[in-house]
Order: sequence, then structure tokens, then C-alpha cells
Amino acid sequence: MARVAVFLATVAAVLAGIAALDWWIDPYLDRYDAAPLAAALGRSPQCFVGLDMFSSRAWPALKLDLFRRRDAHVVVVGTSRAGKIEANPGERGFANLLVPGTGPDTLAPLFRRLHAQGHGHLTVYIGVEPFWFGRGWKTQVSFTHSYARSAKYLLSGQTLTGTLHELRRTPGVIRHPRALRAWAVYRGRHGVCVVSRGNSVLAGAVDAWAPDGGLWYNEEVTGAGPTHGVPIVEVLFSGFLGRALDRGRVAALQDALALARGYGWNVVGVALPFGSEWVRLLQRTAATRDVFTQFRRAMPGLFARSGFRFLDLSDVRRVPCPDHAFSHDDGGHPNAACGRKIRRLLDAAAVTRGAG
Amino acid sequence: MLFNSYAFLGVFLPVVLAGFHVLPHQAWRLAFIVAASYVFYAYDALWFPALMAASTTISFVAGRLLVLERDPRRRKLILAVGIAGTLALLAYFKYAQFVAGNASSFVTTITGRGLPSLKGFTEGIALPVGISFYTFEAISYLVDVHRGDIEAERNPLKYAFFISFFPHLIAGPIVRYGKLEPQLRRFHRFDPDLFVSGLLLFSLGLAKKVLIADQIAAKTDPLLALPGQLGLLGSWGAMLGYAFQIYFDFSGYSDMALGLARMLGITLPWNFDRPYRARSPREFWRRWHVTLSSWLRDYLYIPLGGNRKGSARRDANLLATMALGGLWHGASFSFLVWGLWHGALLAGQRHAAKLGVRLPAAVATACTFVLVTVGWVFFRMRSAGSIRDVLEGMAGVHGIGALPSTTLVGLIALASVLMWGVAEEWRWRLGAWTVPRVVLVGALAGLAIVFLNSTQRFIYFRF
Repeated sequence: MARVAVFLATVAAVLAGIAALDWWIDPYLDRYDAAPLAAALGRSPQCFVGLDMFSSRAWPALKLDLFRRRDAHVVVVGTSRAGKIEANPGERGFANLLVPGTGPDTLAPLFRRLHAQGHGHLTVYIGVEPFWFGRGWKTQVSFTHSYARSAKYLLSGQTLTGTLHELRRTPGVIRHPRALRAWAVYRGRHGVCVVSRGNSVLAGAVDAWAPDGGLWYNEEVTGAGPTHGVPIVEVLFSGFLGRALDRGRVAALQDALALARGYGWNVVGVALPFGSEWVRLLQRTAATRDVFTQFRRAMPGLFARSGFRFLDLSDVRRVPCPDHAFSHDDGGHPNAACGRKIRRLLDAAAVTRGAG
Repeated sequence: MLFNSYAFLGVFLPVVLAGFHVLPHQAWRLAFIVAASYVFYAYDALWFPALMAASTTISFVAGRLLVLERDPRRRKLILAVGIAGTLALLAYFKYAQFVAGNASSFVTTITGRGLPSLKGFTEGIALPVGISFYTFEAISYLVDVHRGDIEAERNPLKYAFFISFFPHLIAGPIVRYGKLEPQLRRFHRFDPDLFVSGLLLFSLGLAKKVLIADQIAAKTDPLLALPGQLGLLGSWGAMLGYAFQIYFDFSGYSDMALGLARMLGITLPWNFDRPYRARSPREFWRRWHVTLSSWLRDYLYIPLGGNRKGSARRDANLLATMALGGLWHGASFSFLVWGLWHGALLAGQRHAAKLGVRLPAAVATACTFVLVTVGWVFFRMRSAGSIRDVLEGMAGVHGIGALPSTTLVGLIALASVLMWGVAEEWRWRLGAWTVPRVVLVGALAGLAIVFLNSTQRFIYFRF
């Protein structure tokens, strides 16, 4: 049986060697590196950070770091649709912790991580989405540290191929892996400042994180002309499908709210706006009507049972914002002007609750 | 469940090996492996095991009845009913849709009105993986019992083991009960050399599948997705790549199956012997999917009359046998044509030999390889249009075209070296291998595990 032991030891050694090499080179920037964010926040005015600085798997780590560095007491959580809920002018203790792909099951682990950082009382604005509760939704963001996920990255053929590609392209990278993470501070028009790789944001290729954690599309950072995106309802259509709200995900949201209540936080939920025509479509289409209407009916009560308020701003006119007040004109990502209005409503709701 | 999956390698296999080697009694081990095999099969769909259990029960009961019955006519009837019972399941799940679809099209052509109810009834029937393989095993068992070549099994557990044994369940090799049953009598005396040889053979099969077949597929699939754009070089590059891909895919699977069985103390029949070394189509079928070709010979070609009834009848038997062999792979006209192509090659070779045609060995090998590769066009491409496109590309109708990628050329070169320079892996005396070679195979296995997440299903899982 000695040969079996030798065989297994060899397999283990090869896997360990490959994992170590992939970790060292990290071709897809899976490991979070705090330096770009530190540099962005250390400038005056503070800089944007290009989305290409990290892989999407490192975004939760980026947001937790942002929360710590901004010493935040008011936070926004949600999907990319919450991207323009911003800090008020001069406000320091605010952080937008949105990560695209966030779902109801993302929230409780995130809250635990925030609580563990010991910032005390928090005001949390949750952008709750109707498409979280349809049958086609799949949450893609986790704030839970997972060794399995890391192992999957380090021991994947795709990562190894990427590592070998980088080693072939730039042999010196084996001694200087940080070269792959090279970044610089770039300045654009109107004093816009961006930390990115190879000027990718200002050149028009990549979107960026705002210094407060908001998500800005490329043309919004550079001031280039407006663009048109695919309507968000079309992109996420399967998330609206179903006869009833997914019970498991409703329970996950309830768990998160119970956790927040236990921490003594102040929470305000908000159904972020869609264009009016999309609201009409969601209400009239048989396949989406149930989830959308039940969501609007159920959420205020669900939040109230935890002692929190919920704002139903599903229709953009309820904010009120004009029908075209969306980034890319996509009917789903409120633009900065509308985001500021939403922020004011949220602040007012938080005060109301606090006063109550 | 895929052999090349984390669930199999990380959970199923360690649990089965540990459980098997810990259990003290033969009957317990048998029961444990049968249960594990049903779990293995249920992993793809929960209703698959019920189907296998039905097929097992039909053939087991028919086998018992054959023993009890003395009257030859009644024995024939029992045999026919037993075969029809097992074949009915295969026919429904594999061919009903094909037959109904074509019947509907035919009626539409004749009458201008289709058969929507018939077509609708069969649409959406899912093909249970492995059904073609265990149906053939059950048929061979019944025929062998009827012929008196083997005794009908009394122990349903042993028979269930024969049908369900997970290493060969999904894609063979097709096992004969007469070869397996004697091994079950001494099942299982632990043989460390056999275990090590199984572990190494399984690992080599995994490496063949993941590191060669899947890598070739990553290069040939995009080429064959747009067959109309392939020139001479591109189409030959793609089809040579596919010829090696399907060999390394299927023989890799077979090596894994043989290796798994060896780790459990069972020696399964080999299925491949570097088939592209063959100097004739006949030799090719003695090296390619041997358990299927020998099954077709013993249970179809010979009963049809084989070569005992004259040249014309022999040719017809060859064509019929290979056509049915083609349809066994799948219910489509392209598989039928592939089978007929090989039937024609086998018949043509016999006529050429009669005429005294003799080719130098290297030329004969090259000709056989080219003819087999042309045949793979029918096997690989799904529509008549795409088959025509690739064949036209190979004939140079679309011009010379661009060279395939250097990676594909490199992979074909590596595959060629292994094909013509090294013996088939099951022939290697792996049980006697020393530590340095074990380390080498371990390194290949480690590398293959890393590439598992981008692996593809085995081609023969479809059949």
C-alpha cells in the first residue's frame, strides 16, 4: 500500500503546488488588495476606483474595507440599482455597500460582518428588489468567507491557464506578481480622478466605484454623452416570474431584519424605482404580475413587523423623478439626480422611525 | 454521475472503496456495491434506477423460466418475450421519438396532414443514460442461458450486480455474464497489485479524458460549429482532431471503468487497443469498442447467417449488422449512415482481399485511418447540410483555407505519438510499477483534477 500512499501524496503535492502558484500570480485578481482604495480615499478630492481593479469575487472585501475606512454609520446595501444613493455633500460616515448580484441571502452574513467591525449603531438602507423573489433569481454575492470558494478558484483549470498565460507573456511576473496589479491615478475632465489599470475608466472601457461606494457608469464618470442600455426589466425578467414570492428568500430577508433589530440598528427598506411603463408591463403581464404585486403588498408589513419602515418607490413617479431619470435610459438604474431624491426620502423615513 | 466529477472523486469513490474493503462478508459487499450502483445511477435522475430494476427483473425472471422449461418451443417463446421486454424499454426511450417524428413527417408528405398526437406523445422523452449498454448485457445473458452456454443465475443479488455494477453501467464495456460470474465466486480477495494497477489505470483514463480529449474538443468544437466556413486544412484538422477526441474520450472512460473495477477486485474486458493502428476496417473493429463489436458479431451477425450463406448474403449481413450497430448509438439517420459506411468498408475489404489487393502495412494503416475519419463525419455532424459541408471541405471544394490553431496541431501530434508509439494502457503492467512511475501518474492525476471544472460529459454517455 506504500505505492497508494505515494500516489495520493503526489496528487496532494501537485494540487498544493498549483494552488500556491495560482495564489502567487492571481491572474484574475481574486485576492483583495487594499492599496488602490487607500490611494483613492487619500486624495483630495477623493478618486473613483475602476471596477477592473479586482475580480467581482473581491468586491465584498472591497466594500467591507470601504465601510471601515469611511467609519460609516449610514450604509446602503443592495444591487447595482442602488448605485446612485450617495453621500450628502461633506458627509463622511456614509458608505454605499451595494454589490451587483446581491440577494436576500447576502444580507444576514453582511450584517454580521458589519456588526463585528464594532461601529455601533448603524442606519441601514436596503434596496429590496422584487426580482429577488421570483423563480429565476440567483444570488451571486456572498460576504461569508469560504475556503471552498477559494479552493475552487485556486484549483481551477481556468485559473491555471491564466497563470501560465501570464507567465508566458511576462516571465518576470513570477518574481514580481504585483506587476499584474499595477495601477495609477488618472485625471480626467472637470478634475475627475480615477484609480485604475491602464486608464481603462477614462478611456471609456470600464465603470467605476465612487469614493462613497456608489456605482458609476463609465459615461457618468467621464461626462461623455448619454448611452442606451438594455432595459433592466428585460435583463432580469426571469426573476419576476412565478406565482408567489419565494418563501426561502422571504425567510432570509426576515432573518436579516431580525438580526438588524437585535443589533439595535435603524433599517429602512426601499423598493427602488422602475420606469412607469415597465411598472405597467410588470403589473399587466400574467407571468410577472403575481410576484410584483405580492412583493409590493408584502414588504411594508414584513419590515413593520421588525419595527422598520419600507418605502415603495417602485414607480419612478412616486419619488418623484421623470421617466427618463435612469442611467443608460434603462428604466431601472436611477440616475444621480433621482438617487439624491431617494436619499432624502430615506433619511426622512429613518428620522421618522427614530422619532417614533 | 460522471467519473470525472468532484462528487464522484471526492465523495462517492472514497466512500465506496472504504465501505467495500471494510465489509467482512461477500454477500454484504455484493449488496453494498449494488446499493452504491443504484445511488450512482440515481444521481442523474431519480427514476433511472426504477427503469434499470425493471430491466433487471424482466431478464432475471426470464432466465429462471428458461431453466425450468424443457420444451424447446416454449423456451424460444420465453427467450423472445424476455428479449422483447428488455428491448421494449430501450425502444420506447431511445427510438419512439425518432419513429414517431419520421412517421409524422411521412404521413404529412403523403396526406398533407401530420400526426400531431403521436409526435407530441413522444416529444420530451428523456433518454436514460446507460440503457443501451445494460439492455445489451441483459440480452446476451438470456441468449447465453438459452443456448446453454451459461447457467441461469439463482441469486438475484449477483444478477443485479452484473447489470448495475457502476464502473460499466453508463458506457460499458459491455460485459458477458459468463465472464463476470466466476469472478464473483472469489469476490473479493484483496490483491494489492490489482488495486494499484486499478488506481493507476483509472488515473491514466482520467488524464486521457481531461487532458487530451477535452482539450482537443475545446479546439475542434468551434471549428465544427461553422462547417460551411472550413477549407481543406480546417476540415481535416477538425476531423482528425475529432477522431482522436472520440478515441481518447471513450478509451479514457473505458480505462477508468477497468481501473475502478480492478480496485474492487473485478477484471472487466478491455474495449480498445489503439484502433488507428489497424490495417483494415475488419482489424479496426477488433480494436475499437471491442465489447460492442463482438456482441454484434455473436448475437446479430452470426445468427443472421454470418458468412455461411454465400458472398451476397454475407455482404447483406454485414450491412444489416453495422446499420443496427449505428442505430444503437442513436436514433438518427446520420448514425445509420455511419453504420452503413462501416458495413460497406467491411464488405469492400473482403472483396478487395479476394481480388488479391495487398497494400504495404503503412499504406494500409493510413488508408484505414482516413476512411474511418471520413466515417466520423457522419457520427459527429447532426444534419445533412453540415455533413455535406465538412465532406466538401475535406474534398477541397471550399479551397485550402487556414491552418487550424497550433494548439490543435500540437494536440494531434501528441495524440499520434501515443496512438502509434505506445501500447494501450490496459496492457501496461501497472501492478508492478515502481515509485517513480507512480509519482508520474499521480502528477497527471493532480493536473487532471485541476481541469475537472471545465470538463465535458463523455461522448458515449449519450448512447
